Amino acid sequence: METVVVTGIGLVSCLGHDLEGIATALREGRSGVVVDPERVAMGFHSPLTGAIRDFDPAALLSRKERRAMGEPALYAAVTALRALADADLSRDALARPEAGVILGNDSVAEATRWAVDETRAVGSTRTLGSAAVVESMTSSPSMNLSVLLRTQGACWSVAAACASGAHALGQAMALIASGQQDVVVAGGVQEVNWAGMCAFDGLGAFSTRVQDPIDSPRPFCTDRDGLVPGGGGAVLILESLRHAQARGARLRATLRGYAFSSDGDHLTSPHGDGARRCMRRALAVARLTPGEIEYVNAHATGTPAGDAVEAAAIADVFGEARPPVSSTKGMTGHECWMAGASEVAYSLLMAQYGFTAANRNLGTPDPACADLDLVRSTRERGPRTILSNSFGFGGTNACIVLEAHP
Amino acid sequence: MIRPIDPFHEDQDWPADVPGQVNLILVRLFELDAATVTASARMREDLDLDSLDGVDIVIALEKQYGFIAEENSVTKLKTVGEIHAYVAAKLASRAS
Repeated sequence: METVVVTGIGLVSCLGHDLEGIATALREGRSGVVVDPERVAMGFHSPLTGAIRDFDPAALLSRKERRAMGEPALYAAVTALRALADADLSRDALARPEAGVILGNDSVAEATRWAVDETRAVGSTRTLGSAAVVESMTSSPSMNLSVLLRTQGACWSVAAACASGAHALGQAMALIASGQQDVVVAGGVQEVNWAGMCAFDGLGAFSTRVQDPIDSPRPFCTDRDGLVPGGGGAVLILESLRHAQARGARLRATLRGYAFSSDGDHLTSPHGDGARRCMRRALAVARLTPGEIEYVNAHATGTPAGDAVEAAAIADVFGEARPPVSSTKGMTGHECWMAGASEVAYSLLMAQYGFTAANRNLGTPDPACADLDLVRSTRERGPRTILSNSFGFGGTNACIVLEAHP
Repeated sequence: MIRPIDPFHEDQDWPADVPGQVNLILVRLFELDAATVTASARMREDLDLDSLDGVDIVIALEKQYGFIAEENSVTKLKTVGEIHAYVAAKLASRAS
């Protein structure tokens, strides 16, 4: 089996665009959450969202490259180019059968909304144009990215709700470990618009604490009242150690373990047993004991039920080991399809810059989380071994274990 | 994200002549340098436009001028000048 390493990171986040700036935001506990006036006008229960600022894809992509890219595909393309630059890997080096693209994505709601609205308004499909079909497919980010980078290997999107990004990384890791690919551009994307989140809002899952948007969400806090959606893009360059060493690449981390499980229980309520199995399996694959994990990046979104279930699962798995636990969603909101990839990236930035991010908005911790070492303020020590949790609707679970090389 | 059917901004000057209008449509749709959009410019070789772009040209012209283009006719157009002539002919036939 090939060892799989991370050699590049690219992000488009509500915390910023450049890695150092995002690391600083994480260290300082800044929030990227705002009130979206459009969602207010649309009658949302909650207009809160993570906001992407100063995003200019035309600075990196030509008109022809952008023409069939909707919002998620643009995030994928920009973050991939940033990740390749971070990895010092040329686009030309990817035009091979051993190079692929796997992205987590589970909606193209705005593109679909536009096509449907246009068809109704015109009474015909005649005006939809050449790009609507590609933009309106869930695999739009991966197909656009493969064409952009000229990869000739894997090319697909993984749709697994809020675990999509983590499963994409895991699948890329498996393909590299088995020798089927030697480099995969992998990660997750999440559109940030009202169409993508209206159904979620209708479920009543979002925080309605709108007086000061940066006070939400509140993972693990007693008075948490729901999640806040966010999004953007997170792409990592994964390579076999052999491939990375052959080109003299800087190694950001080794992917030690990936595991998946399903609750097989309820569409929207997590059970906990699936999370336990997933974490234990990921540790076993990584050949690490609970006591060897130095940081858990929790899935915790700020929902009353989800955080308590995850806290109990973490406590069961780690017992007396009690590693530091935080959810970066208190700063970013829930980046949904992208979260499994972005939170791996955020954790690696903590390792690189030597800190462990705190749980923003953690006022009074929920007694149900009493068995966890919840990070209350930034700790000036970067983690070397990391477990990142991602859990999604339908009870799909993904856990990734990394060993950072700061 | 690039919506081909609405390439115009309300605050921009709209040329009085059809060739000028067609050129502006092409510039706006495809982010072209206006200086390159001449009557003799070849769509593929000079402006780097392909068949997908051709779909969007047709839609933009139909939206702008209110005619229905014949697909077979439009796909045969090779230069910007041929588009000028095609649009002028369509408008003339409608006027008559």
